[in-house]
Amino acid sequence: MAKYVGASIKRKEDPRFIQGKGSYVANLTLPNMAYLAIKRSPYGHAKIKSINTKKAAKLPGVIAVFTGQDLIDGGVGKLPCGWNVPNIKVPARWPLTPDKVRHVGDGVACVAAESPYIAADALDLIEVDYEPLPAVVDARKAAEPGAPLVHDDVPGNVSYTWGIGDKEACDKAFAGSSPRPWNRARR
Amino acid sequence: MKVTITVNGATHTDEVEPRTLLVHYVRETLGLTGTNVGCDTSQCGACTVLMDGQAVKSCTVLAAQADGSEITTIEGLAKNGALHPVQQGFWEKHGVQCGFCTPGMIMTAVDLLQRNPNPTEAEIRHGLEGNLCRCTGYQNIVKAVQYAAENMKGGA
Repeated sequence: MAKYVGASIKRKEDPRFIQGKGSYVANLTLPNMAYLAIKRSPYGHAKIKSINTKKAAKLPGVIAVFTGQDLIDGGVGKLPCGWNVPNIKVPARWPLTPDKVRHVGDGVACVAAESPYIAADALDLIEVDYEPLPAVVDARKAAEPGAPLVHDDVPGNVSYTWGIGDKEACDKAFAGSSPRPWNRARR
Repeated sequence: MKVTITVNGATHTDEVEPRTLLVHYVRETLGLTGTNVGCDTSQCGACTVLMDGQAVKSCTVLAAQADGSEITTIEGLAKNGALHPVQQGFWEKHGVQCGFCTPGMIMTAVDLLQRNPNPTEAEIRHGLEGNLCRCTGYQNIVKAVQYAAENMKGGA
């Protein structure tokens, strides 16, 4: 024990990383493995009017194509929220969104195929009809009245307000200090 | 289309699609998975290899462009089982955490030190701007490169 305390010890993980022998997930190969590609929204906020996956499903080497609704119909459930704050509003969050997209990159459909290249090519064959909606991209603006709703069942776009500590004592302490940008976030 | 590329001293001739990226050729056709794909945007540098001695981002080079060239990947750095001084530096100076950026960092550093064997700290930081690390905050990576520069001076 004594020889380790205060000593500089080289890591035993490093030899494989400095020689390019790390077993990262992308380096794994399994027999008959399939590859997944996800079709993502180019819009920050839009209704999904329709998705046509027929052409993608016909591409040789494609194993399956699923939209958000397909997953729901197949019994795949919502993403759970494990955060335990009083009065927290938890809107439905699906692995792929069935109704509207809520950020650039929101996943709307996925393809499983025999190679990553076929999966990527199949994405190009998925036709999504979007109706763009106004988007709000600033956190403070999103909480202002009249801001577009990210989730239609969460008024004001606020999931929860969480107070901790002694507000009165805090306000007193800040009242004496000169305004600085971080004061706003701290309160 | 056929490409003939020498990688880490071994010459390969393979049939590839014209759109095949060098990084995918190296990783998938040749099975050299030390070179990583870390982004879609040519920003991260995890894919850095040496092409005819110069550091390039292999995600932004087509295999077709590398036809006839000599590529060195991280797997090709150690000579006869002996680590390259830059590799040694990353180990000695704790320049590694998850290791994902490491091969790219090392290859860029090798090129940097070839061109500038005695870099200042600012020159090292500038030279590594094309390689992103999400773990270390770069401090020990810089020290690793300084260690390597020091150890390569004696004609090592």
